Amino acid sequence: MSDEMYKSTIPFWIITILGALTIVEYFFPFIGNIVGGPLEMLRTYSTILAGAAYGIGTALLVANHGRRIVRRTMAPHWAFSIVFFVSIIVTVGVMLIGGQTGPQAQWVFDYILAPSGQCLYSTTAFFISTAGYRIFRFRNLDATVLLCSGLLILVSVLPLFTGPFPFFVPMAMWLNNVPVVAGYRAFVMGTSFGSIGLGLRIMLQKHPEALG
Amino acid sequence: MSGKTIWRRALDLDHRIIATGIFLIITYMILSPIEIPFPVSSYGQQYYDFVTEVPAGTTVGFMMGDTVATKPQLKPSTTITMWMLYEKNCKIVYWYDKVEAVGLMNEYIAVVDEMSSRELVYGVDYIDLGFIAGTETGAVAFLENIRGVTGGVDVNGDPIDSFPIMEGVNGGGDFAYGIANCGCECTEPMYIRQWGMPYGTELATINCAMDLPAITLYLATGQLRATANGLLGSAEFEYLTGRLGLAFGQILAVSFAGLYFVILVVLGNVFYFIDRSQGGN
Amino acid sequence: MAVTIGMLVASWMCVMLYTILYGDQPISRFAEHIYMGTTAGYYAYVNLRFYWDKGIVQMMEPGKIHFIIPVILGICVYARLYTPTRWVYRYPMAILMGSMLGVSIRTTVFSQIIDQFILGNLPPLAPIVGVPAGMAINNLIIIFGSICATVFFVFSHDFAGPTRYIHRIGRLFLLCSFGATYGNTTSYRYELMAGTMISNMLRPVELLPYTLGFIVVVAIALVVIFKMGIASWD
Repeated sequence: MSDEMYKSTIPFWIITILGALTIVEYFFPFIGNIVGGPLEMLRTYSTILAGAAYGIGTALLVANHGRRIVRRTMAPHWAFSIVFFVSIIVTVGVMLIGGQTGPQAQWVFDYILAPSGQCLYSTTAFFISTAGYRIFRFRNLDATVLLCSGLLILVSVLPLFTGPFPFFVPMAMWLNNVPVVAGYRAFVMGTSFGSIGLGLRIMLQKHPEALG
Repeated sequence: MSGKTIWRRALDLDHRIIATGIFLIITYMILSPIEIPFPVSSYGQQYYDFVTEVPAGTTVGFMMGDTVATKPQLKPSTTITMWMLYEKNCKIVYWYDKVEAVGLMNEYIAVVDEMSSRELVYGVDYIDLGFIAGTETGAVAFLENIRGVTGGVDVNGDPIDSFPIMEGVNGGGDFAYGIANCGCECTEPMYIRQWGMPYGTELATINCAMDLPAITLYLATGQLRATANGLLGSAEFEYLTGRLGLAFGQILAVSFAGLYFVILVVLGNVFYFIDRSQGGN
Repeated sequence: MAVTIGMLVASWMCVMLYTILYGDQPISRFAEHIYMGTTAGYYAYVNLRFYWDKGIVQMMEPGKIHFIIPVILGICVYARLYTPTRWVYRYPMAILMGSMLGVSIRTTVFSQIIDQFILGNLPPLAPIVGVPAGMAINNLIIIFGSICATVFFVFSHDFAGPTRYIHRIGRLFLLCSFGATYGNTTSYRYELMAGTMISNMLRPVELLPYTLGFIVVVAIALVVIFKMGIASWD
């Protein structure tokens, strides 16, 4: 058996067969009766695999920061990699000791992870404001349509506007239920065809980059 | 002199000043709130009607996939939904597809326990089946065979067959009604196509405001019954149920931030067009 | 409500992280690395715990020895870290990818194409006759708009002459949708900010003096950092 066979060909055939059977099982009950049980079991196995696969991202992150410390690269930023290691060790440590919903883990979650996550996500509010000030112009019809619909939707979800001017609500409802539905319907259909096309390309082994 | 007009210099305003402005406005409105009445949108009313419609005693599937980022906005609508269902003696089966929900679940249950007029009994009124990895594949596998994916145990490792709530419940089709808190992950279409559509479950979602345009499609075709949409949805739900709280307090600060944004856009355009008329770029 | 150490830590983390808006400097980097480490550890533990409970522990139960398959495949995932064995990682990924592609394609066809575009644009979901005029007009706009917007995605044909208006109208409908998304996204970002501040920095009211104190300390530190040239203001 050549290298190419077990390193590349067989994995791609696994994708093809598994994907095809999963699709066919849905449309043809008699096939579903034959392969449904094993496929269901494979999907259960996939959930366990997904749990294991997550760790690889963390492992790569740890390896990257470890390299920075060992090689003293990106000075003086390598010192922050030590901070990273301390926090990951403390977090995993408290969860191992007290369990994932133990008081120590809950403390780390409530007072470090949650506030930091909320804070970092919320910094986009500042960038969106700067973008609104610097970039969005009523330059032509296209930009005007984009901005007007955006501003109408924005004011319709803010009580400061809808309280004194309740007509914004039905206007925005009409916008959401008619033109936005029309535009989004096509967009969703386009992206669905795209994702189905990509999936079929992978299943037909025309997309070798899929497995890395 | 750089040769720039005053309008161009205004347009080149340092982004840090703009950032400080938002910070000050939101802080001030949180510290000095005023009450502003607002009309309830059809989405809020629709979601309230959906939760009210769930028959008493029904077992409801609840995918509690909230995240830390969306917790301040979605916690009110999530906890009030849970409370309303418990008040009707509904039973709720929880699971989640996001890691962060592991830390949030107990907090939400504690809040609802306090709100509830009766003591909630684990295994009778609710059960927590824990985190299910694998996103879409995990959701499909779970909804096909709950005991297969969970290994027959709940989040605490206890056999789920020992709990009365799980009698006759082993898949998505065993829930006549379902609620999916999708946080900000845009997984609503996934739950519609893997839960609502194949199993015929009447589905509603609790999601961030950003997902609304994508969801209106499914509301229009009836594939999704209702949505509690972001902070406004939470505030409306608080208002409709008479339990004004966190969301109602935040919505005013957000309103003034939105006003600030509108002013920025208008001013930016005014300065731009004046600068252009005076020969600027 | 009494202020706890946890609340002080949360407020301090938020103040440090918000300094990222004032430039990349050691204060924000320090807080970012703490967040990165905490998140990486938390996510890894929960996922690997799932693998442990549903895979390894379940494998030990009577009659469930077949769970050794995902356990071994789960270990194979880590072969990616060592270059000579990198190809082993493709096997578990192939199973994951095959399952995922199958489950998503088979239902996308119905929920996002047939139900949406075909059924959504036909009666009884989009009636034109036998309904009030307003509803009929709205449905006509939806049908017309969705067809025009779909035509926009046909990139293989050059739309010239009168057909270019169909393309143009489709683009306008798409821009309307994207504008609505932008409006909702803007509102969502402000909600995130208000939520962060109300949850971690401004409430309970007893926390406010501490938050102000942290802001003053960080502001002084930032001035020192920028004046000394440790970080650049621009």
